[in-house]
Amino acid sequence: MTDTKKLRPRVRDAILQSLAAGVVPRIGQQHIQVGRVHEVRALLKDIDRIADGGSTMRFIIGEYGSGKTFFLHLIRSIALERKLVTAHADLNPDRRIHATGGQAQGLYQELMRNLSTRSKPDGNALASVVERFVTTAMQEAQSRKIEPESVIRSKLDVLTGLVGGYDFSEVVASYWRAHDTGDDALKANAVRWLRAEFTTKTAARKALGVRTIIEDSNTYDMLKLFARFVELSGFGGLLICLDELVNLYKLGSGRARRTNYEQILRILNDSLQGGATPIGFLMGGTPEFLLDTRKGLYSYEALQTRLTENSFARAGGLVDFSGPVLRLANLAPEDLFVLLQKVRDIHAAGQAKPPHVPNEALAAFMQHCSQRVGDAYFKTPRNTIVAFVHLLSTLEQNPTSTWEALLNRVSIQSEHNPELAPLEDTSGDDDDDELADFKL
Amino acid sequence: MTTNSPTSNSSAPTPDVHSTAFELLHQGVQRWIWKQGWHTLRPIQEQAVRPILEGTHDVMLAAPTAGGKTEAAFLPIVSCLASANEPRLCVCISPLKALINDQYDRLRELGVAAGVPVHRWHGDVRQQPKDAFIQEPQGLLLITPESIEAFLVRRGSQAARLLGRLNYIVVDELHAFVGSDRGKQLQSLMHRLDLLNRNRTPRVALSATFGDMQLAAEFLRPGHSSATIRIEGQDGGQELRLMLRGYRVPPPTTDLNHDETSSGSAHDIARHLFKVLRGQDNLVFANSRQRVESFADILRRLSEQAAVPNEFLPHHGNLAKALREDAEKQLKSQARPVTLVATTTLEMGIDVGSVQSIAQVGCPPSVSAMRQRLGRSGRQDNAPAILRIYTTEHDGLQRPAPHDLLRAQTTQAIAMVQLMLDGWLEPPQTGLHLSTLVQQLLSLVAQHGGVRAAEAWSVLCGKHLFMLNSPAQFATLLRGLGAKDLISQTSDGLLVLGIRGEELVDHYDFYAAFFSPAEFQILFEGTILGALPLTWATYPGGHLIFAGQRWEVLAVDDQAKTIQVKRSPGGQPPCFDGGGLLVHDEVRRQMRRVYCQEALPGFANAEAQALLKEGRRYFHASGLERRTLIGDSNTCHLFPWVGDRTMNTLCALFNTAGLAAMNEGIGLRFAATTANVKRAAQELLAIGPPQAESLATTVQNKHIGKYDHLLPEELLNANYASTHFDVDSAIAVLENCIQE
Repeated sequence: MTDTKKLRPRVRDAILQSLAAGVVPRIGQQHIQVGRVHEVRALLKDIDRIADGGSTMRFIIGEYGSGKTFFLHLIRSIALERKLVTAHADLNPDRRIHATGGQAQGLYQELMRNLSTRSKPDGNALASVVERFVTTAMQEAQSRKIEPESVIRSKLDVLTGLVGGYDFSEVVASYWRAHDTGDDALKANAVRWLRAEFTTKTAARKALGVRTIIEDSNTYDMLKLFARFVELSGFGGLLICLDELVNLYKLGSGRARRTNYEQILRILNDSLQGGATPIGFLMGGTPEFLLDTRKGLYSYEALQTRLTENSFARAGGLVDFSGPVLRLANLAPEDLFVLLQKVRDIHAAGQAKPPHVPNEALAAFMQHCSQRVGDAYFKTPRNTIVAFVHLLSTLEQNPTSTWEALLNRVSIQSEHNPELAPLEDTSGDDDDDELADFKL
Repeated sequence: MTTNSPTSNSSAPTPDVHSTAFELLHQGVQRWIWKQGWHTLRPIQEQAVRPILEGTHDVMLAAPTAGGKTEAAFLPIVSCLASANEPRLCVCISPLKALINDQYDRLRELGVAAGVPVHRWHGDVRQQPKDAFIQEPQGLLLITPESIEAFLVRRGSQAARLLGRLNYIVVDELHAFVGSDRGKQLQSLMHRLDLLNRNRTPRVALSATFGDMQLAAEFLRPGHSSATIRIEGQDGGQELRLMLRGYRVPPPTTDLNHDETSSGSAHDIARHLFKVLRGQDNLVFANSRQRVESFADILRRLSEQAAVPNEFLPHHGNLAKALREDAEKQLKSQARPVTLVATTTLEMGIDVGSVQSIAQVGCPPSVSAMRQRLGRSGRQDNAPAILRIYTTEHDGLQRPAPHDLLRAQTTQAIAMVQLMLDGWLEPPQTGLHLSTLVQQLLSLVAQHGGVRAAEAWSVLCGKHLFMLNSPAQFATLLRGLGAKDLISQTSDGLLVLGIRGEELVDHYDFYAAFFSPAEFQILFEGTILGALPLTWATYPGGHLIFAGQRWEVLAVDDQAKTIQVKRSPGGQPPCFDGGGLLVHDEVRRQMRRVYCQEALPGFANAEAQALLKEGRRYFHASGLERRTLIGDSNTCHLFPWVGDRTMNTLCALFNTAGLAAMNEGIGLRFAATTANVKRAAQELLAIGPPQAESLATTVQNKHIGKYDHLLPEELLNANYASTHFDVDSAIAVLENCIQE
């Protein structure tokens, strides 16, 4: 069991608040991790490979609420510990891997906003990465007793040879100049450029003297450049976590979907062929995003052949974690039991008189959920955990109540889109109940 | 009240207008009013300012055309936008691009005066001004329902940013939407805009005076019409001049070289049009695009024969944008007189102040459409509204049918004019509008990338929008769409577009709720003349009339959907589909009254009066004033004087009873004796009133709406029955029939 005694209050609150809201905590994931030992081990190898200067790509495939996002963040936190820089983003209609209407640029911007390092695990680490590049260069210059300018130039020479690398290194050089002369405006412009926040080339040219900007057509090249840059700054490499890839599946236009899949193929080819860029991609999606031969990744022939799972291992009931597709095994009821224990202990940590929730209560809770929503409760633990955290906090705030009394009031919420909620309260009429579980 | 000239150099912009409403307006708006040289605000404008500025209630402004209702709405709205602390938006939804262009010109000046940007957005607007709106979505946005649909579908994720700061939704020409598929789409779009804004944005409607204003208010905000503030403008006491002219169509000749456009009734009508309309700005309405084309053609040739410049230009939705806009521009410019020969494209309130008269060839499709058309004329101060109606009746037929002998077209036109003069208008058509529900469902899915079934039900069917009986029926609809691969479902229950659904939504044709059949582009020496729907056979060597010219077809490309043409001296007019409106019960009842009367209507010319007399003679001779069923040994006709819905129902009912009935508009024709018909009627009555839905199963062609072909059979029947059947009325006809 986790050593919850040492849990810091900030981490404890962050975990519980996130769980209660049904989202993955940004910190402290290791305290509530259960199962999936093999999967984690497989990805540790990926992290090592990135740190070694190689490219990787994995599709993390699992059902809704099965813990994909949790898993991605867990791996991300491990990568940070291993001195990688990470960036993560959820895809949505305005953030795509490939686009012509600014949506790919939007994804890049989001990734840069969420850029994290070990010392800045909550994002917004871009400026500090650039700063670190400059300071390491200066230290090197000092120790070698040469001009910092020439150290920086020689480091940037590595980038200049790559696609789009010339302007990228010009921008970094501008940052250095601004650093040197104390020109804060120029510094800010350089960071803005790296964040892909320039939308016109003329504006970029005026501010930084470069002819290109980071835009839809070059985001992947720019990410590769950025990965090299991160390496030059003294980090192990760049891990990019893209979640909610099902949004590509949901794109309303077949054309747009296909161009996105083509881009994924490009990334996949680079990693399968052992590209020499320290960059790794983790992509979280649902089984239908992968398997649907009409709209999923499998609808694209070239991707299907590359992503088909090891039939040899599957048929034999064995596992193979070396392929690009990593199927998240469903949590078993035992795993969920352990998870509930962990959540209970985290909740109890730091409280003088925690509510009395014995292991029998956990079993009864699981029994109750099973009756309410069937097996899905442990396969897709998100809503189950939300309900459990709510139960715990109710017990905490009403010391007179007991878990036995509250258990029957637990209900598992179904999800809905707040933008489509009726404007006035219609809880009185429940005639749409029969559509709640509608199946085509 | 002083009468300072607007150009006089007074020290401060002291307005000439003094009223409490005026005081409430923004300074820029006041300045604009003053610049117009207005001495007073009209009563409707006075009344509208306060409730619209308050923005707590929906406001309905009803006034005859040129009643100043546009200003009544926009003076306070522009004031509100100009005084807001943050950028706000007002969406103004108009039925026509022509109307938007017109409004745009009128409102831009007002917008400039108050510092409120005015944008227009429809299919013919260039990208650059659209981008300007995307950058700064504020001010007035003049837009068609189709463009809003496109907005939501294609920019779903940005919709909240672009359309989420609404202060008002204005519906221009509300009467044009009520009861149609497009109206249903509009209601749904307004509701979806409310959901985006997370509040009930006040709706302001501009409308012509309705027969029943309550129905219009209910249309504007289904279920909450009681809170709507209704302001009705006074009629300007406009003089009406009406004339009905009758024409006889000579017996058809067997001569194949006969060109019906150089002689005959069409030619006579055209000659009269040529005589009375030349030298003025006019609108000529014909009910089908084909007739528009052939009249424009005859009139052009008459101009050539008389060696005068051609003033007659065709205008309909199938003409290329450039030709259409050019015709509109010519009509609006004062340089020379122009008469547009138009279909419904120009029907709604394009405010061309200089139109002197309206001509209607053939029976108007409905009383309200006629009232609309009349509204186009005499908009300038105190000019009379002039309407000429031309009807034709067949003469010298070898075996004339009763409705020819009844002179039905002329009589119906007389009945409709009388109803209009009495102030009667058709109430809006009701129905399930399931075709539009399919469109809105797919659009909603595309907008959000996926919706849950219960959410879709609550958005589309929960708010008095689409009147499905039950969620179970909705589930049937969803399953039907799923089976056709229009939607599919992800494992967490989200409905997303299927492959076919994507194809449908991805095409620009998707945004319109109304039907426009696949069209061929017509190319002349590389220039696009326009497009024609593909409803008749076209082949190389064939002829067609288009854009008022005769053309010979050189080549047809079915893949690229193009037809190459060259100029040609002879031709056969293409057959366009005319949108059929269902004739209302009251119109047919009025026709019966017209037959029973003695008096001759003063607005009919001698020929029309003579035709009416002939019709009355036959009416009495065949005993139709006493009975509804007439006939001889082998055929008989039923004339129950009811509307098309009832006629449809009767037709279907008799067919279920094994008696083949043919619907001929005003009458049903049976190849049977009157006794047979009565027996069938008795049998039907003995069975009892049928379920409209099950009766619809016997009907073969039920695909009326655009997406009707996507509906499951069960819902298709319910949909058809809701618009095309009236069982109670049909039963009443049968009961009456057996008692004769």
